[in-house]
Amino acid sequence: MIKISGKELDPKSLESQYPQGSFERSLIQAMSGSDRSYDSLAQLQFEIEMRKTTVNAARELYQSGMDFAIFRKSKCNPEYWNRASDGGFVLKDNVKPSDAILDIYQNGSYYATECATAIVIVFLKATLDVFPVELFDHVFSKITLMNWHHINPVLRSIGIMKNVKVFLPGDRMYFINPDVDPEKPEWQGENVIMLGTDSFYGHGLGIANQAAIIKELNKRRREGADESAYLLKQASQPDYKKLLEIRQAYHP
Amino acid sequence: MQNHYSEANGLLDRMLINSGNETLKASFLKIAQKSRKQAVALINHNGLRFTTLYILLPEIDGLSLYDDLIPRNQIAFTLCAKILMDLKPSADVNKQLSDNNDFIHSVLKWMFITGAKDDGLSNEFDQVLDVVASRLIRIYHDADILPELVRIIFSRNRKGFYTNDLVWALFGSRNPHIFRLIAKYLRSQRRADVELAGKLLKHAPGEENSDGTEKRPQYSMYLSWFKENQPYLYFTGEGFHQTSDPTPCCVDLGAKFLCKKISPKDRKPIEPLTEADNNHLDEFYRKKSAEEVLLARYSHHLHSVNRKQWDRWMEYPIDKQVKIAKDRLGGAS
Repeated sequence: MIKISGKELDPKSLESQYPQGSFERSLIQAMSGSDRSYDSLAQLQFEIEMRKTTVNAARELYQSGMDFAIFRKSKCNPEYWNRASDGGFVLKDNVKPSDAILDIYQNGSYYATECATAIVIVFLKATLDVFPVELFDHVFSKITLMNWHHINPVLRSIGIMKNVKVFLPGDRMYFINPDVDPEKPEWQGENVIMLGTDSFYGHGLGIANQAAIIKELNKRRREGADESAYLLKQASQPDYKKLLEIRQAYHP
Repeated sequence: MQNHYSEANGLLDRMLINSGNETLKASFLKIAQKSRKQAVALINHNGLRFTTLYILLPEIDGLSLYDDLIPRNQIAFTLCAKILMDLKPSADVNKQLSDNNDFIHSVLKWMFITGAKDDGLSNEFDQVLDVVASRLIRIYHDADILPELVRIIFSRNRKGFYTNDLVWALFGSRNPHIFRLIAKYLRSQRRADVELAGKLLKHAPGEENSDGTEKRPQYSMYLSWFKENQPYLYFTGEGFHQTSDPTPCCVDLGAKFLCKKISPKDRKPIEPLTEADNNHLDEFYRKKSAEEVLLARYSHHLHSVNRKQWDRWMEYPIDKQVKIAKDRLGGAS
């Protein structure tokens, strides 16, 4: 059930605002299956918009040609990023953050990194798609791309996994691989974006369903392993409410 | 297990220490040109450090000395080749390394013990150390290396170097003693040490930072917390790969309430639970989370100071237990 300011929303009325068979319609149906409450209709609409941009950003990153590499061997376009000694990418001074993020999508082959970094990139691109460019550049004036340590405070919640009953497209999720080969710690798990029903994007493994991702992770287990990889019943998302407030407060 | 690092350093090690990498390489090539036999003898010296072997790997490869190496060096060569992929690995790489035996264990330990001091030599060398540490802990359950492993993690962190894989290996030990080793860094004068220690000890209650950003335990507080909770700690498998705020370790409140030690590896009780224990637990888990914490804490306290009173207290209905615990501990959790 979806509630707006405490009042139950008829999902059909909202669905009718979007075309038949659209991403938004199926998302609203999925959202109706769990208890969700919003302060305003705009808040709900913003979450729908951003979940859509997140899914699109994941698909586009998959097609960008960005390679998979462990942090020790990561690479980035030095025109926009400095490579840090721990393998992360630090936005260069005098570079527009929006240009630097778009460069990853346009020149993906200049980049190689692990799955956690890819997910952070996806959320930044999704935010760029819903923010005016000037606002994005102001809010994300400093970016370090690596894993969950260096997230801009505005997107901090994407690093914090919580137990949830219903998973939605645009959620970040995690496949854990408890018996991973000790020589391949990069496959101790796979950070993914849920794209739709049983469809996930994970950098290094591509777009696949749950069974296929588990199969790939199981191939990277230690000899004699007896525990399979599995999908955690946890998810994280951006703080949509906070992002909307930032966008609404922006007056160029 | 065979010991490969008990003797004094060999000539090649002394060359490395006194004159550096390039002189070592040049001297080794010169010796090999004069006498291949002497070069082989030097590299096979029982007291050789792994670092020295590592630096000479390209020369060993170039001179095709692999077949003349002693098994310790062949295993180390093969493992480095497998990890770094830019040296020709021997044909039976996987067979050599997949044997879960004492000899492989002893070679890995030699690599780690004699190589750890040179952490930071190069990105590739550090990567080899990461894998060696990970194999020692996750396959051979070797706890001897934990103090050195913790030292390297903090040393790298100060320099901004990559630590994720070593932290992952450390927590993979599922050995609660690592927390004592980490806690020492809460007293460090270096801010980076204290911050990392705080992150790695998030499972314990902490105090707000002066800048109000993050909570972390104080050293003495942590030790007293650890002493109280160690028998009931278990590892969750969570790490920094998965979340920005991992809880790699938790207290099993039910075990603490029963005062029954659990295995930190799988959370199973060391001694099987009795029917009475299970009945107590059923009641315990019906209470709210804050009351669970209170009951567990009071139970542990009473059990350690007066066993007879604890026996009596455990037989009271759960609500009476809560009331007594609140009265005695003042509702503290």
